[in-house]
Amino acid sequence: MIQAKSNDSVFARVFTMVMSFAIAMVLSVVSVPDSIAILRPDFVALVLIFWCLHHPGRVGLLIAFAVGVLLDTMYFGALGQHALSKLTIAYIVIRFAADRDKQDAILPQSAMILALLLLNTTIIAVTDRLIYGHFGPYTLWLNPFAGALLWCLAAYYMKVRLSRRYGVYE
Amino acid sequence: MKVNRAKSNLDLKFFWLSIAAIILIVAESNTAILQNARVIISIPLKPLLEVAQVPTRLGSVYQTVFEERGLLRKLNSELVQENKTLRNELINLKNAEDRNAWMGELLHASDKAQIPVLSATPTSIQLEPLAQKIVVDRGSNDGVVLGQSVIDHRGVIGQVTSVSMSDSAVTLLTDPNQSLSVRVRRSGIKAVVHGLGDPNRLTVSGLRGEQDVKVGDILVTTGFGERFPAGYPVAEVISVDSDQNAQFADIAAAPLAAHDPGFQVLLVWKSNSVDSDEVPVVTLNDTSQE
Repeated sequence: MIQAKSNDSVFARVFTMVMSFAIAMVLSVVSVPDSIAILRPDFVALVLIFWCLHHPGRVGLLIAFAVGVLLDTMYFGALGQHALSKLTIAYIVIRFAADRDKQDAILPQSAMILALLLLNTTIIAVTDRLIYGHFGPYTLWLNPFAGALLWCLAAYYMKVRLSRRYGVYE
Repeated sequence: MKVNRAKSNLDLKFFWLSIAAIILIVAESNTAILQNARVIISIPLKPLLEVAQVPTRLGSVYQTVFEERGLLRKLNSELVQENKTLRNELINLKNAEDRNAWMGELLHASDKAQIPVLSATPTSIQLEPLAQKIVVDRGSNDGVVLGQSVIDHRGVIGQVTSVSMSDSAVTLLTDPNQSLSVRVRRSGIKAVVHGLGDPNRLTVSGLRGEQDVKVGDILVTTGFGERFPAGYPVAEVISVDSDQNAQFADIAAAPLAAHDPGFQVLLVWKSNSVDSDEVPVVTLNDTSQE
């Protein structure tokens, strides 16, 4: 397992984190054809899970909540919807999965990501129902699968790259 | 011990923050008090939204620079032709308007004065897939308010349901929660159209069937609630399915507004100059719009 370098400056850490969330937010509203849009994963949720999993000390519940409120504003949805869903998945990751799952194999970890993303979508669909009186479009349920697949591919890519760079072979 | 305490701190924090989120949701769904908060929160998001629009803008620059000139020329000649036709129609319309004003005076009707409007362009920001909403590039800075109606050159699009500093979200007529009181232009009979969540289809209630409405009829706004100007086209009836036993027929209509990206839309303010008491509209079944 490769440990993150601890001599990063505070500025570099904060900058990396802010940029990762900013890029994820841009990716989640950038205009693409509808057929692709229904498969667009929740990039912000993925980034949040990544940080909570690997650096639970740096990204806490407050940041998850704030990111959720920003997302609600950006989507012109009801304030609090994404805040609640992002808060919940961050809590679950920090409370139950951080540190423990670091060494997990890619597939079980992706299954966990799928469960978290499904929970994320469930919270949004249920709050949609409460606020607007109807569940969101059924295509909403495709994006957790796209997200888990993306996670799986990214994790595999990183594993290959890192093991090559550091000469770690498993 | 230390770990346990950290965990219970985390639990507590989660508890309070989720209460906060639930309060936000409840407040948002019942009141408009968070409207100002939304405007403030949207300020730091502005650069992100600008970046998100770059690919689309580059695409359209590419198109204008490299697209065949022939296409533009063809488009131009079509527009010139259309302009001629429209000018002709405008003259007829002016005549009709004069006649209408004269008849309106006879009926003591206060004709609607100039309605304040503002043009806006739909941005290329994409909301959740297939959501019945669009975002336009005008916000509270331009004086946009909640509930404003939005129209385009063909018909009613929807109404403003959320405003941030420089953008606002327009919920389309086709949203399942939207309904609008309309009138059949040919017969003048009133009805209500409801969104279904399908971008190409609306349902019409309150009409009895063939005696009230035919396929191809145009439904126009009534002007109730003054959110939408009266007499503006909304939808075209595409099917009438009347059952002998049922009181009302199943009627489907297609919205007339075009949702071409990049097309200009108009934001319409409620005109304060018109006092609703003065408008002598008498109806038996007052179907006020939502």
